[in-house]
Amino acid sequence: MTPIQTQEMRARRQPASALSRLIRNPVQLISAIILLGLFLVALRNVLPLNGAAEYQPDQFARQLIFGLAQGSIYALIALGYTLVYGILSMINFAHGEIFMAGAYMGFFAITAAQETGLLASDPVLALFITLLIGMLSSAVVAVLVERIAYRPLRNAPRLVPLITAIGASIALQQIFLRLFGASTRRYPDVGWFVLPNACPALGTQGLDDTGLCRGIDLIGGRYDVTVIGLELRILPIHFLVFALSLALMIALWLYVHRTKSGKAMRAVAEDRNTAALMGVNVDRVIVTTFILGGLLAGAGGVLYALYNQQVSPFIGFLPGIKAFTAAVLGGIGNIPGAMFGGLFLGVVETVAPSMLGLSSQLKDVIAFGLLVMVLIFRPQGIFGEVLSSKRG
Amino acid sequence: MTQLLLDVQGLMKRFDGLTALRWVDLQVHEHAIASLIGPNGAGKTTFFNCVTGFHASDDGEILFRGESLWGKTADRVVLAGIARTFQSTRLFGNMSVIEHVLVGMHSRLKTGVLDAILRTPFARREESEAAQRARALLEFVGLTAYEQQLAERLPYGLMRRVEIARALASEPSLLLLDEPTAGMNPQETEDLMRFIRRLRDERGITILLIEHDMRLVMTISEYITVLDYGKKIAEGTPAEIQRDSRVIEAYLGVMPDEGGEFGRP
Amino acid sequence: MIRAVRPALYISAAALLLVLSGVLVSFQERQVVAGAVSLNAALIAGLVLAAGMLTAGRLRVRSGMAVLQGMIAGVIVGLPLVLLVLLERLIDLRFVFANLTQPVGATLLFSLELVPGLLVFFSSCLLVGALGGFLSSVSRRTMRITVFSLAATVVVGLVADQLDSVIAPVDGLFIGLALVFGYVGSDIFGRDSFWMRLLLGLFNGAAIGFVAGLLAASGGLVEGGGLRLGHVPPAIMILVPGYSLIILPLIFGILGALGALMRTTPRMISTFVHYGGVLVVILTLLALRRGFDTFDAVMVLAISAWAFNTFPWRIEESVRQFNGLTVVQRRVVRVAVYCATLLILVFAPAFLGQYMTNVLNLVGLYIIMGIGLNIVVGNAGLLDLGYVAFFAIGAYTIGLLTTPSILTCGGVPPEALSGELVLTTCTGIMNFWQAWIVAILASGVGGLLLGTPVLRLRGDYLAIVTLGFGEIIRIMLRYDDFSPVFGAAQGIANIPRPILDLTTLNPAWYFVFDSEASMYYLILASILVAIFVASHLGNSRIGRAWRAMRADEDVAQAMGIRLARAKLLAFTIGAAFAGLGGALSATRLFGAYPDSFSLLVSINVLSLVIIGGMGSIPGVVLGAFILIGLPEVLRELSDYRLLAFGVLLVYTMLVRPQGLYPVRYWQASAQALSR
Repeated sequence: MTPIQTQEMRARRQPASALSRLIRNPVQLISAIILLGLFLVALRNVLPLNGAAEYQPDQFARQLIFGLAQGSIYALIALGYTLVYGILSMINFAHGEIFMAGAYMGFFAITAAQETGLLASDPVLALFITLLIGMLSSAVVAVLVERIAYRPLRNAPRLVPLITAIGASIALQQIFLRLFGASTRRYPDVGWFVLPNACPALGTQGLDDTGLCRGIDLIGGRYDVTVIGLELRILPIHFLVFALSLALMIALWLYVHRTKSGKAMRAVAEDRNTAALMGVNVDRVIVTTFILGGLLAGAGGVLYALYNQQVSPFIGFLPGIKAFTAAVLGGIGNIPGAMFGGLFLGVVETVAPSMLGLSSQLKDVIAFGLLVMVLIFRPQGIFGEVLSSKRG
Repeated sequence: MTQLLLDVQGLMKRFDGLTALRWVDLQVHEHAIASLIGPNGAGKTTFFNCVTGFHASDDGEILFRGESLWGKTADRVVLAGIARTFQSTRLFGNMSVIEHVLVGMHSRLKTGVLDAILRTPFARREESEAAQRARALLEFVGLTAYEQQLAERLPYGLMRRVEIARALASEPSLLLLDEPTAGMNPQETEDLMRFIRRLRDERGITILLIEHDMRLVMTISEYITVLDYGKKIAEGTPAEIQRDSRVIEAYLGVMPDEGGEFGRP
Repeated sequence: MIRAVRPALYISAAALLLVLSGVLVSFQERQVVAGAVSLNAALIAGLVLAAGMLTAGRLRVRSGMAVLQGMIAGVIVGLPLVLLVLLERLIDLRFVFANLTQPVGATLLFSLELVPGLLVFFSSCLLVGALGGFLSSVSRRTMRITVFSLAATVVVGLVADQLDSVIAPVDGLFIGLALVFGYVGSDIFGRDSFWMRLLLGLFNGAAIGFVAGLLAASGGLVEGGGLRLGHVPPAIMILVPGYSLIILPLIFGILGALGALMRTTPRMISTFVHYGGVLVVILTLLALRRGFDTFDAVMVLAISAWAFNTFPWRIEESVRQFNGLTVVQRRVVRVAVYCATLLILVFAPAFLGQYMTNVLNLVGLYIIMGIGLNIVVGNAGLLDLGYVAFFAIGAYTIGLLTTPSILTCGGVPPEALSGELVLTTCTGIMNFWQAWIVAILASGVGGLLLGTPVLRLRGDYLAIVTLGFGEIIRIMLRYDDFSPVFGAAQGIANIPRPILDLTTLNPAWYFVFDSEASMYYLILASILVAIFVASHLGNSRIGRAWRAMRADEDVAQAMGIRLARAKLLAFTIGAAFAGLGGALSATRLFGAYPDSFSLLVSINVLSLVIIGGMGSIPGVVLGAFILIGLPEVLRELSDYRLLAFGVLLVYTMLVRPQGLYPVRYWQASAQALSR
């Protein structure tokens, strides 16, 4: 390539400034005004204008913790959307149901563990098995969906796989509904006790029905503590979910960037045809992608069900859409973006309603509103489409 | 010399990190048949895409009849009078040949929503006139017999003709043809060459074509521009180009595999 | 080997899923043929038959082998079920499979003991499978006739108790006679001349109508009269008392003409008249006899087998004849058919009962929405999953504008006003017609507002944003803080029915649309307008632009089509159609309630558009009847309706992307252009 000839450097076309672009685009302008208004409302609620502020810091801290836990679940699901999008440039609409499948199968596993007494005797092993079964069943469902609904249509117009995806989503939800019933099933209570030394610090909160303290309950426990002047109610499960999700995401990152199969995946994401010419088995890469997405969604499903304690065939719908929002937020096709987007969305949708003084009924509206705002201002997401930028 | 129709100055296009077009200047005079050649990946199709508004170019100026086309979207470019075909045929599935031509006329028709819903006398008249013109155009390209057939089910050579007819339907003064002979046999290529001349002679349409068939390019073009790695390396009459050492190097020296294209039938 | 039995494996999996989902439990009370065939038996037999046919049909072997193949397929489907029955003896499946409230064995084994029951079950699987294999080896045609007529018999059997009051025997008799006499009469005397045939048909039909009129006037048809067969009051009695000797010959004359034209009509009409005639015959028979026993079943089977055997070539023949007609004659055929269709549609509620009219209205509302969404999805290729939002906007607009609400009472919540004050303060209350227009505009503007930010984006984003938008609208409508406006979960009640006041023209013309039947006419008129608008748009420059855009956005733009504008137009018009439907629906239900605007509605509409055939208006109508009407009548299936939609969406895209009634634009355009 010849070096840039500086004498030919001309800069007649100045990129328009952000402000002037904003003014020229009425949609962006109106949205910006709305956002500004919301910001002012939030500011009024946060600042102690007359007496105490509407919105207290300890409320924020509590919601932040919950939001991060919720957000890490979104992130796990969002990774599935992002992976598939990176490889196939299509939205796997059925991904929410894949998540639900993991949660549901995890329910059967953990109930079986409870029946056999394993859950009481060795909760760690039982939870591990539950997680594993949830992940595997989601992966199986994901592969089935790919095989039946997407693979035959890989070269069809964009609209076609989108429709099969919606069909597959409906069908999966309905199959679960018909097979396992419409009623909500309850995950059993689990006690996973660690750090018996912490008992004196916990005081009466550490005691179970028999007045015995076995340590900090990582799953079912809830403790009121005061940290740097903030009165908090700590649910260790939130930290557990967050930590486990983080670990899984790091594992995925390592897989994609350190293994040969991950390299093949990136190659296919970059350019499917060239990768095929270079001897990459594209079908296998795609199946691997769906398996990875399924595993993460399954893990997310079990974790979600562990702290919500409820599963039904309908639990996949909302987290599915929100995780998609998260994926778009971070830039669909971008792995760190999905992680960030998930956490961000989780925090915003927990914090925003009370910060704005709205009822939590509007929680879902905020998530969707965020999606629309992202699409208006930065459709490529915060981090842009890294995996598939060439095709933009 | 005749009037300048298309005047591209310093066209620049980057795809994150990769510079596809580097300050390309290109002029096409009215009633000319000009060609744009170069090895694979030289940026020829990118050039077309930038001129027709498919890609937003990063820098430069595109003047058409003295008016700037820079920053205009594809639909505005058509309105200005530039039509194009595509490298691989891109026809609409589920549409007949004549419908393709009618779609091509879109920018020249005025039927609005209310006209269409109420089927006003204006809409009826315009539609039947459009149909007449479409038939005339089909006759011109020799597709009358296939008028009602699904365009996608035609043989390959005819599909390319549908594409040209569709482009012509927008009544362009400049027609950009992207590798029109790709996949054609010598006879079909010969026919196409004659057809291109007729377009210019009978309809007064200026032609700019991207082509790999050197024999066609050298016979038909009056002026040739050569791109390599996104830069213009030569321009001139066919005779000048054939003598130009940089062109020969670009084709033979850098990419020996592509050299065959010079002698491709 | 696996490849050869793959259909059987799929069907086996489906059968297992269905059984585990408790389908046999919920179907077990239901009889297809009273005292002979239960729905369970029909279901399992149908699955095994299909497995046998598909497996053997795949191999194209001779009949001996085919029978064997069919038996293998029978084993593949039957064996897992047998194993399931044995398994449930060992462990309780009910914790996992919650819908399995009774053991499978109790519903599958013909109420026999375990061992003989299983033996009988298994051997019947073998037998039915073998039958399937045999059928597929005979000829495709035989197979098709058998399958279709069996399916028709099962469907008729299932809906028999809803349909036995649809049509009075006397009505059916006369309709049938008019059609047959029109057909036969014109065939004997006017075989060669088109005009002669038409005239004869008209005359024969009118004669039948005259007889019917005489009969109606004779008093023999009144309750308890000797000629009244069956238990339904004949429509020819109640239709237009007093004028029956004029009106009836007119109606039946057109029917007779339709009968005469059966031999020379385009495909769609010919198909409709042929099978519609058979349907009338079957309905008449059903009305004569209560219930559906073996005798009825055999009769229906025989009639439908005859129909499926002879009609295809009759229809082909009729299309061939039609193509040989002159332009004027073709136009006459079209006009006659339009008249007849209108006639049938106008008098349908009189013939059909209250219940069926209700179903028709629901189907009609979905047709309106389907036509709207068809513009968005089918023409422009924009996947809108939040279509229900615009339906809701239409419904709430009409609710807010035609009842005392914060909008119509000058900003005062009507709860705060006492009875007297409501009348004086709420001066903004509009009548239905004004509010309807506002509702349509409001939905259209809603579409415009939502479309503007998102339509510039890629298609898949659109799907999810619209999905989100649909949910946002529903949440907002339910939101407690907005209850002074939208009434939260209670919605808006007491929406009045439309009143058409034409007393200035004629003092007698004062119509209140207070019954389902009167709403039917309003919905019908709306559908006709919708079809008019949608088909004109579709066959214009704008429709072409949409289709080009759907096929290839980039090229469409290179043809001078302004994408954002074309998309926005489609989106807005589609939304306006939804608003029209929503307003009608709210009026029909006397209220707008947030929970009736769930995602389900969007999915229903999307499914009927896609399964019916994207871009095809007849496809929408067909889709609405099959996907919305059929489950309304076949109540047993309603649990499985969404599952079927999901599976059908995937299946349609995989196997028949053009849908049930594919659109043929190039033919439509040829027609339009040849004028």
